Amino acid sequence: MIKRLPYLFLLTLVWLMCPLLASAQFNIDFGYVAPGTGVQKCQSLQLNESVAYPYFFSGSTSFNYFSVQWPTSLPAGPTAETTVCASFFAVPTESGGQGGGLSAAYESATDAMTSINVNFSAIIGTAPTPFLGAVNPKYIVVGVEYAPPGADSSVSYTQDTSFGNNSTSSSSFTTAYTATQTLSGKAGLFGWLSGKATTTQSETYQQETSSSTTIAVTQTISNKNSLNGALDPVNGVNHNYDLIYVWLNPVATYTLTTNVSGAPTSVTFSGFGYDLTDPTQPNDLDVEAIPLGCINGYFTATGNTAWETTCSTTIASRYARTWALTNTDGTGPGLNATDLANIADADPFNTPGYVPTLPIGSYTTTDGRFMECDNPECSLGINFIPGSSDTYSQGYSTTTTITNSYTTTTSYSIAQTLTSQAFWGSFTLALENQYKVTWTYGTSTQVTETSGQVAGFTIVGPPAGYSGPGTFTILQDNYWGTFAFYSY
Amino acid sequence: MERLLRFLTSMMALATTSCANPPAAVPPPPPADYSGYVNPKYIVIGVFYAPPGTQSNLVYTGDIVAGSNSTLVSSFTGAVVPSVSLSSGTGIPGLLNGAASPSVSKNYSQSSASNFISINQTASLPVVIQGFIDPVNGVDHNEDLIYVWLNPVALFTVSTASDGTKQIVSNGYGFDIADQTVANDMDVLQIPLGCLNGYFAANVPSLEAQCENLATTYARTWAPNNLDGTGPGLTAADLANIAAADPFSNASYVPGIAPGIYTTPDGRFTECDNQSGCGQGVDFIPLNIFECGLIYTPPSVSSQNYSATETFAVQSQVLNSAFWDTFELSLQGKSQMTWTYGTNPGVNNAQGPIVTANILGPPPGYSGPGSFFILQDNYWGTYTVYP
Repeated sequence: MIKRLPYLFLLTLVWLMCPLLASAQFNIDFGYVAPGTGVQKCQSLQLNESVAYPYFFSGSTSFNYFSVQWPTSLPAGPTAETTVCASFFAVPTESGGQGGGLSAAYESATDAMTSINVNFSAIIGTAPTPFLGAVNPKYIVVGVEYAPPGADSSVSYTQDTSFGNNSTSSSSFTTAYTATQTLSGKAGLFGWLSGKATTTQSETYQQETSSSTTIAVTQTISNKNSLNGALDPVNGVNHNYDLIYVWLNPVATYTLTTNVSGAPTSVTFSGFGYDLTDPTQPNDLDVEAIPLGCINGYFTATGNTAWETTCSTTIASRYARTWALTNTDGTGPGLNATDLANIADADPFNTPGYVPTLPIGSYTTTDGRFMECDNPECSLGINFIPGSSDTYSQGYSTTTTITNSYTTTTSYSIAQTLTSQAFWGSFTLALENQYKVTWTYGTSTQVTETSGQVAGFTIVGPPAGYSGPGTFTILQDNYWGTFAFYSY
Repeated sequence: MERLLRFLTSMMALATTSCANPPAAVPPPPPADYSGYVNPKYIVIGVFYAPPGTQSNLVYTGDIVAGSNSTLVSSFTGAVVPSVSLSSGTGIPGLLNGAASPSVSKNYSQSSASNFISINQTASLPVVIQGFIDPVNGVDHNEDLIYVWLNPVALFTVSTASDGTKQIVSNGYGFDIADQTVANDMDVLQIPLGCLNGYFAANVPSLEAQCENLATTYARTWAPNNLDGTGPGLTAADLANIAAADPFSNASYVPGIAPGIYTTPDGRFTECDNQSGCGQGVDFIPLNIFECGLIYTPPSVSSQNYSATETFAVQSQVLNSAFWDTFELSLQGKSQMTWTYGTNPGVNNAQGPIVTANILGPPPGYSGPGSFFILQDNYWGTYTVYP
């Protein structure tokens, strides 16, 4: 029940008596107040008055169950703060939303007048418990591993190397919701089963707060993961053999608060989990490495039937996600052509003609995506000539340029135990598209700023007769924490 | 009157007898202990699983935990009290006609807990298990190697208590030096599962010669006939028992991992979940290489669901001994003993990652599974890459 008094009458009277120069607006929201209890809140604003108003002229101090303590004067200056404190008492005989406003007028030494207005709002009742729920996006991209030049070369991410992503789903929601995240520092990733978190924890990945809206999922590699190269006689490097790491059983958890009618009032991203019903990697994240050439049609176009067989069987059968639920939009759980196209774009070299441009004197590409190594161990170019065989190690450089230029939008499913609950109803109301979630990926300081991490490269020269580039530069991918080889 | 006097006299006599001090207790003579031994045909002491991919391997380095943990309790009748006490320490001695020799195995040791005896490999040289490619399944379990000990000697001490209870103490194992296949050490034959289940004979004729060569070894021509009169060589029934040491010899076997639980319902396998890197899934695709270290971790729940029953030989000097008189009466089956294998406690697991998995992706054109995970075999202390 909203109640208002004709408080404007008083202000109108003031206007008739004195010229008003300005008015400032205070908005004090008491939120939920339990019946029979009172609460006080204050709000401070910089009114930026050109002159001081040392005299309180007039103003009512109470309205219904609201009361206000007017300041005795208003200061001058852009940084001077004026504080208004108000109280609200939730009478037990009332319930629901309450609101109203009051004004006060002030007079300067030269008889000039100004006013300040205070709008109040409160809900009499017990605040609803926030809903913690989860949805199951079809996939999350967690990394791109770039193929080195040469069929006999390899790149290794050894013990204590971490790679991963840094992402947010904020843009999934309407502008009314900022979808901040509540993770604090580093946290584990827990398995979810039937819409509930379990105590089963990933041993290979962790999550970490990156900003107010983004969370980084990183793998602390304690094994050694290597990728052999494949020779491209023209370009040296063949990016169709790059591996894109796609997480196939992610769970995105959210905390929702709602008003009395069930409409969402806030959406908070509470971090990731993983779906334990996926049997592919029991009790842990199911992350599949997909060669870029399997997605963009390269192997088919070049008549590489052997690779095409592997792509259409071994690779495709896994991202079919046959263990997963149908999505809320009615589509099947497997990755479709649109999903695969989105995934391919995680590798910027999927875009024909992409050039990681390094302005003269800058170590970061113009798009912020890559960073040239500038420490003594790796600043030299890599020789790639017949007969050469060298081993390099590569540390990470601190990322200073923050960008987020890669997004994926995908369908999602939700555990059947959650579909009938209030979480689900409120969550869809907050979404821009009730059947889609969008992930925006950006620079990950979590994967590039950990000291002591190194990647190793063994670069074996091409066979005689090779006519492609003979020197490569190592570029750090600021999104995934991996390294690419590029010939300028 | 006369009848009354006779009654009173007899009652007094009875009272006198009842009140008299009992005779001093004479302790029964201590039960005599008799030591002896029998010669089982074989003991399974390990299964090493082939990883996926012809260029892949599993490297078991020095002091590996791999081995067996078994008990003979079910060989004896319920009236027998069995126990274990290793008479020669942790070494496995060489024996000739039951007499000790200076030889001690350089590759294996034994230990005991409860009624189980573990036989674990202590080789300082690495054991490398090479991978093989199965274009359909990725892993070819026919290439798994089952380690079969062909010259074991089982040592016992028997006694009969005054109440007639027979007690059997298992004193561990030695090896029969009469077998000089491996000079002065344990004769452990590595038999591919494909030789045992007939897969190679039916599908890979080129490997049949290898199987035939192994058969000449497990013929055990150096050994005496068994107690039941059969020859010393492993029979088809023995080979079937040995094949069953590898659960994947059953084509329908699935080591199901329930969500949130790391050990299979049968207790046989535990999913690797420690932070040495083995908890990560293995992407088995062309050009990709995966390496990790593995640490044996005994599961929290023990199980015993593999057993092998076999006949055994008894040398003539034993047959005519007091040992044999008691031992024979204690057996459940008069000419058989049963080894029940169970969870390996892992005697050498405190030494960090001592097994390395190197999984190299298949060639392009492969169409089998692209994702594997690593399972620890809780019986043999080895690892399989599944599926």
